[in-house]
Amino acid sequence: MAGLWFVLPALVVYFMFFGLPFLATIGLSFTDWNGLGWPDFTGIANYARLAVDGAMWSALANNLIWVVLGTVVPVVVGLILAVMLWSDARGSVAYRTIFFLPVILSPVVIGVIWGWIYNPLFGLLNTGLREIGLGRWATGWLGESETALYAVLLTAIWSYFGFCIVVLFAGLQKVNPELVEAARIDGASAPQRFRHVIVPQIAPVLTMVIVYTVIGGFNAFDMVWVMTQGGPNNASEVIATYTYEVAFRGNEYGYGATLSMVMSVVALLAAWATMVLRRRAG
Amino acid sequence: MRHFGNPAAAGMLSCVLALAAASAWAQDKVTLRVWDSFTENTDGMDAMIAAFEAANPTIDVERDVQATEDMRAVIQTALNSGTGPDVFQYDTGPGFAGVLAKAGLIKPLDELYAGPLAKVLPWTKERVTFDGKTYGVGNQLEFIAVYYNKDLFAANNIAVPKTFAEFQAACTTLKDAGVTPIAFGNAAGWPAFHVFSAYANNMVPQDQLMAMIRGEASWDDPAVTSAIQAAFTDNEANGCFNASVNAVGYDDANALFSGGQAGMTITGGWMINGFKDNPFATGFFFLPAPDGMATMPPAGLGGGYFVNASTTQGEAANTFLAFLFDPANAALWVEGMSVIPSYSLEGAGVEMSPLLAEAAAALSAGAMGVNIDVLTPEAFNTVMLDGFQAVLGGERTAAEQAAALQAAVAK
Repeated sequence: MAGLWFVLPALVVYFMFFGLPFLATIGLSFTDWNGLGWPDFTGIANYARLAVDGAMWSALANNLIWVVLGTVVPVVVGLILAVMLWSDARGSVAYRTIFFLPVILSPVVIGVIWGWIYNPLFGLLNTGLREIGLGRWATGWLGESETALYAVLLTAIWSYFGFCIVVLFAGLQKVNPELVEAARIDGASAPQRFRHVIVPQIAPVLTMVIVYTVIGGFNAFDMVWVMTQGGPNNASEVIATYTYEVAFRGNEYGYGATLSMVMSVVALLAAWATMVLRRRAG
Repeated sequence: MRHFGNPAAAGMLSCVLALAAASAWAQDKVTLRVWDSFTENTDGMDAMIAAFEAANPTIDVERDVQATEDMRAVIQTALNSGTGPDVFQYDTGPGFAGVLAKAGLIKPLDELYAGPLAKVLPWTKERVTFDGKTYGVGNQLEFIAVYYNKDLFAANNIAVPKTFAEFQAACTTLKDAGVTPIAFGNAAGWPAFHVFSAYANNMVPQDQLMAMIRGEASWDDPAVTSAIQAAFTDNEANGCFNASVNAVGYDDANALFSGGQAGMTITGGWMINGFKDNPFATGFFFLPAPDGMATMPPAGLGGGYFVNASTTQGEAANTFLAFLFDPANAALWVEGMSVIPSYSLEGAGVEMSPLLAEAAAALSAGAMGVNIDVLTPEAFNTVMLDGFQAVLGGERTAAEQAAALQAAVAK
């Protein structure tokens, strides 16, 4: 009972700033509230609208690309680099610091800087391509439908993979080097030692990083908003930016609440599926 | 005398009296919460408010600056929740202030127009009048024009275009000379609104255009298709724009023009301040209309001031508006902020840069068209934004975009 009193302030704050808004969002998702006056109850009309909302499906498809590439690439690269740093400790601290630097930068700052790199008029990327004779590849990276999403995603991956390295590196400290050594003496190759000895020992950390990254992928907003605002012509639109546009630009707060519920449910399902798969693989 | 014989007691009494006076004065002083979007001219607005407070010592203005986008996102919620400002600057169109007026969130100001706002230009008053009541004060007279580099024009023997054919020829000449004819950055999407407005006002009869904006005529019309085709498809195909317009930011396009790398740029009067220090002679002209059509440069209001319907500082709000729109304070707008206020500057005795003087004169002469996006609702503007990017990216034809605009209205 005394313990409950100790956690009560935290629970109250949590309920006020998370529980209550979450419940209010669920309630709003069944209304047509436009931000003015009192919302009218519309039943499941907003949820029925989802089925025919092409822009939502297109944004969701972009989110799936984001989640798949934005999880696989930083986690795989992060894992490989973390194991390399763990295997040979020389310069490890310096490398970890360098790799982690982008993580401490604000996404807005990163978005602006990479926006300059991609700029078709003076950007480093196009200038570099022209300098090495690949001028025909120079393009408006953030302004072309074919490249915009991937250009933003690359930026997001660059800014995030350092986090994976640091967390996985921390997980690797729990790996028993004697087991690795024993496997080596038994004739296991480096990939075999990695797959069958190292990875199982860091499975909980790996699962946490993957789940965290998957959920983050469905919530992606800031980088997209700063760099393209979902454009051109919705080519880099993701659920979060679409929700913002619907709710705050289109004044459709009710439908915006429905979209945010979709975002939450999909992220939770994906996180649950990831955990189940990891458990089975383990 | 005995009572005041003690100097210490007299001193204390003086202090008490002074405190009482200060307290009474403090009680009389009211705080007026003002939100505006003068992010670029913020010092000028601070000076305006300092002058107001000096003239009205009983009113303390608490100013918050919100970017236009942020203002659009939060104002409804703020007004609804009772945490909104007393006075705020906002878009004037029916899709913006009109929505707030319909919801009863802003206060009619008709009485002020009979008094301190009597000198406000009638056409600006119309833009903030909804269902017969005037809800705000339009401000920041703006227009869309073609700014041009006079030096580059002279070097290439180009005269200021008087016809649409001459304008197109100027593009070709500049392109052949290796100069980007028109700097255009549409990464944000909204700069295309201005280009479209410039072409549509010239290519769609004004009555028809206004009927479309009111929802009484269809946007899916050959004239609209022609305007979209000429503004985006043709200019893109003819090399009149810089490369990758959808990837170039608005500021970068302006920098391209100011850096002398482009001959022209199509944008609004708000850039006068930014272009006045260009390292070359800068001028502007209105986009000429094709043969048989009248040149109707888009003109409008950059914003307007509105009063929260539930403000408790109504009197202070009225005093503030009367100060802002008093022609005696024109210099604070024009010289301090390069903003053309919504009253005649004739005889106001303000000093203006040549470009601004040219603009002020242009706004008081001849018929003007409309800035379409400030009159249309946000949902329509979203279709314009995405659709024009698609047209520029070659993913949608002009006719398809005209149909999409009409579909947005129907929705």
